[in-house]
Amino acid sequence: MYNCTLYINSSSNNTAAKDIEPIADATFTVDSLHSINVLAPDIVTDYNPALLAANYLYIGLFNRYYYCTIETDTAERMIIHCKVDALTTAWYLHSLADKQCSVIRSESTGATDIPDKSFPVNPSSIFYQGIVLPGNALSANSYPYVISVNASYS
Amino acid sequence: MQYNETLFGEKIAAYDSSAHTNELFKFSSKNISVQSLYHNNTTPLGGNFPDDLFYWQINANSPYSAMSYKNRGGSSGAYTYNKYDGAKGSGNIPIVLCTGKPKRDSDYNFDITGSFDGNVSMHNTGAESLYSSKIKVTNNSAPNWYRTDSLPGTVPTQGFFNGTAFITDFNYNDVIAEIMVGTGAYPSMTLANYVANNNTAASRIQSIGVKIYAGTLRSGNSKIRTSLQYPTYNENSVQLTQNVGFCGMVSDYKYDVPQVVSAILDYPDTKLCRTETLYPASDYMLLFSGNCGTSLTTFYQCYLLESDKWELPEGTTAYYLKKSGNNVYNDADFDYIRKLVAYLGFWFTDGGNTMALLGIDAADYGDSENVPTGIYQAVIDAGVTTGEFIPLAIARENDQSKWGAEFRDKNGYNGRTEGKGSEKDFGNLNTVLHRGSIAAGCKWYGLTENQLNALVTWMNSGYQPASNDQFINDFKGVNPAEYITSITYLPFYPIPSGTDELINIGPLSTAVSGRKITYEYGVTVDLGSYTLDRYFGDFRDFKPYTAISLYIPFCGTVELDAANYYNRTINVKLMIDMSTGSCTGLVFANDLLIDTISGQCGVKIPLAAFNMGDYQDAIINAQYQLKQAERQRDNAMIGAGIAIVGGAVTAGTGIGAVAGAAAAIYAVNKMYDARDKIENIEYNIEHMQPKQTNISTGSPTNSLGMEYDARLIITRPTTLDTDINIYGHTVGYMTNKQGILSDFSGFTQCSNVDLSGIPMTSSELASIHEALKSGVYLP
Repeated sequence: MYNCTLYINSSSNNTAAKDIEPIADATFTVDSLHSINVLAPDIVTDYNPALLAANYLYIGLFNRYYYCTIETDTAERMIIHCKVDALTTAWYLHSLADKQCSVIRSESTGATDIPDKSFPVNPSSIFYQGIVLPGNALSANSYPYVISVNASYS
Repeated sequence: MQYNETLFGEKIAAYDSSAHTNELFKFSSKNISVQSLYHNNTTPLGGNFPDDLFYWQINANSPYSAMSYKNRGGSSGAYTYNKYDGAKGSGNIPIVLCTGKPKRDSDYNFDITGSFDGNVSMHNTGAESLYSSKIKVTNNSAPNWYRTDSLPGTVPTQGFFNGTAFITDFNYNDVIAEIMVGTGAYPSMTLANYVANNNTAASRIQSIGVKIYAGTLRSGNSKIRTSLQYPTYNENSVQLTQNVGFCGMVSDYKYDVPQVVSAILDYPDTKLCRTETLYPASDYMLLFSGNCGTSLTTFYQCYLLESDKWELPEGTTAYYLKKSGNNVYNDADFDYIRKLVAYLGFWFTDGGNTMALLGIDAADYGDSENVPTGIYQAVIDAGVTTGEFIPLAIARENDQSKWGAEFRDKNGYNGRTEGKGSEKDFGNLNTVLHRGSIAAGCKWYGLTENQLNALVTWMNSGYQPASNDQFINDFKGVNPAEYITSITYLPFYPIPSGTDELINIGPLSTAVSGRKITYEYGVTVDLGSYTLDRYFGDFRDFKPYTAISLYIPFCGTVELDAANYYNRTINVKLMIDMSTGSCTGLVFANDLLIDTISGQCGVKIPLAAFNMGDYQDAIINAQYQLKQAERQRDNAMIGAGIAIVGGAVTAGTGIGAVAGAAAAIYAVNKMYDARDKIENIEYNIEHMQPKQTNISTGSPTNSLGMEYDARLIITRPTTLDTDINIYGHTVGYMTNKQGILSDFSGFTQCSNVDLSGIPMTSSELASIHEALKSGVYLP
């Protein structure tokens, strides 16, 4: 026997700290008389239309969060198919945030001089800029012929 | 202001309270909650904090951050001295260095009313009309910032940093710190003047004043570094002068007795001197307390800059440090003082000739080319002052305001530009070994077309030797054309000043004048300069996205490595070999030669002349033939005489006489032949004239018809219509940072993560690893 809590998850699967909201009557108890796959359990419980909106589940016994889908059968039971959300489980329950990492792309920080091949640059459209260097001292003169004369006798 | 990682990023997180650091922070819209912002006091600017204002704050853990404040209980209450509790995450900003208001007053002349996390606000009371156009920093809550006694009227409990300044030397805009010396209470003497002229027991260094700056010294008309002051009230706008005025370290024997309380209170321009002596009471030690507790012992432990101590000298002559006598500063002391100022991240001057800048508007030397000497800029490396300083004239291309923004205050590809002083390397043409002058053995002339024609005319027909001997004597056996070693058509080169002088060909004067050229090492022409700023501020400024080439007249186009030139001044020079017309384009980044390219800027004019050796050979050969002919003639005459004698002798003998007569006739004929030959040779010699020099004109090369300006050609990519924020949110910006996952937020993609210690199955860990490598969203 273990407790389950159903949530509505509004975050994408690749969100570590998922935005989950418990729904009414979300927590229920499950009796399990057979073996169960911790990573992908199927849970059978009484039909409760209030729970049909849930798409996320926490099982305290396994200390894990799960994605879930719910189906009903003719016996008015609900079968909740679960698949573990290892990312969120680790984030919320196992301090994933404190783990050392090496980040290559980030929304929050960027080493801007690292070439980003994904950045949408239009290679066929080039902006040209011509800049004449100010201060040019090159000017025409009236003595354009420069001769050198042997100065041995002069 | 709460110090926490959210506000300031990883820089703060890396702080170690046991370490010495002098971090300067930059406030921006990201970490300041501005309640209201006004333009010229009336026009609301909304809540956006302008990015072109820079509010530097000393790190709470910096020893300089612990400069204490003074406050008093009401306008007439007694002063009390309060230390700053610099514990991380608590307390108030001990000192806020406000910079702002760049050059364009009309755009940036505003007041700010806002709150920094409820502790410190930038505040305009409205009652201080004199200062209403300046940014003011006050504190909404205790502690109140002390306002100098020299302000007129009562001292408000809500103080301002922009107190009335009694340091008159701050009239000029671009110097933010100076060392005050002299004998009076508030003299305006500079350090240099002090050293030079005040070698008396009474004179002393009184304080180091600082003035806050805004913006950046840049070329052009914008962003010129300007002090935080309203133009009309220069004298009244010195920021923080009283608060950070201090004296540098001196050795213990140079410092005498500490002051008493009353003296301090009567002397608002607080000066702090360092000494070995722990004295006086703890109250005053707290004035420069560092990140410390309330006791002197704690002070010792927490003052991190040195293991030494600080004391507050009394504002009377007896306790000042003197130039001479027992208590003196020496050069090492001065250097240390400057280093302390540099630790604060300020510019400063040690006076001297820079005092001539008094009253000069910043715009007069805001252009980088006109930065005077004697002004120094603190080196800030990755946002941390190093205590080092560099002359402003050298550091002019650096954007100091960005030095402190190593961390990003705005996400995306709009960020900082590099500008570390440690990367500087300056070449110097003077380091080139001096070679021989091009003038050695030759004289160089610049000729007009008429002068050249006259010279040619002289050589072709103007010179008429009376004889061969004269010709040979005049030119010493040298072809006269060979005296001219080169003729080059050079339309562009600096013409030396002066007057024309006569040109000599060998020992003869041609009566033709030319402008004497006196270049010692050839000639170098400056083709102009341009400070190259980054355009995107990110990787797109470099290859393969951005390509920068430089067209140099007469040389062609050279491709520049943008990394060598960004934020530096590109200077192009053309070094001309005047003898050949060849040239070398020199491309400098600041003063450092980076690239060169060869070219041809002159046209060599050929000298078509006969060979003097051939001429001499012809003369010698003719003379030899003449001698031979003369010898034949002589021999013939001798033979004829013998024949005559013989004939006379042998005439009587018949056959002998006939034979002798025939020989004589033959000899006479030979003699005549020889005479004719001699005459012919003599004629030839007489008429053997040297072929005169023939000078032709050369056609300009194609390069002479091309552009004469040096021109940068920059090609940049255009960016597709992209929402940069969406890009960052969905793709992420390139980075290469290490840390823990909580250091990052938003879309984050890892190359690797250490998941050890997480009690999950291997397949789960593998999926986490895969997710992080693919990119996840972190809170």
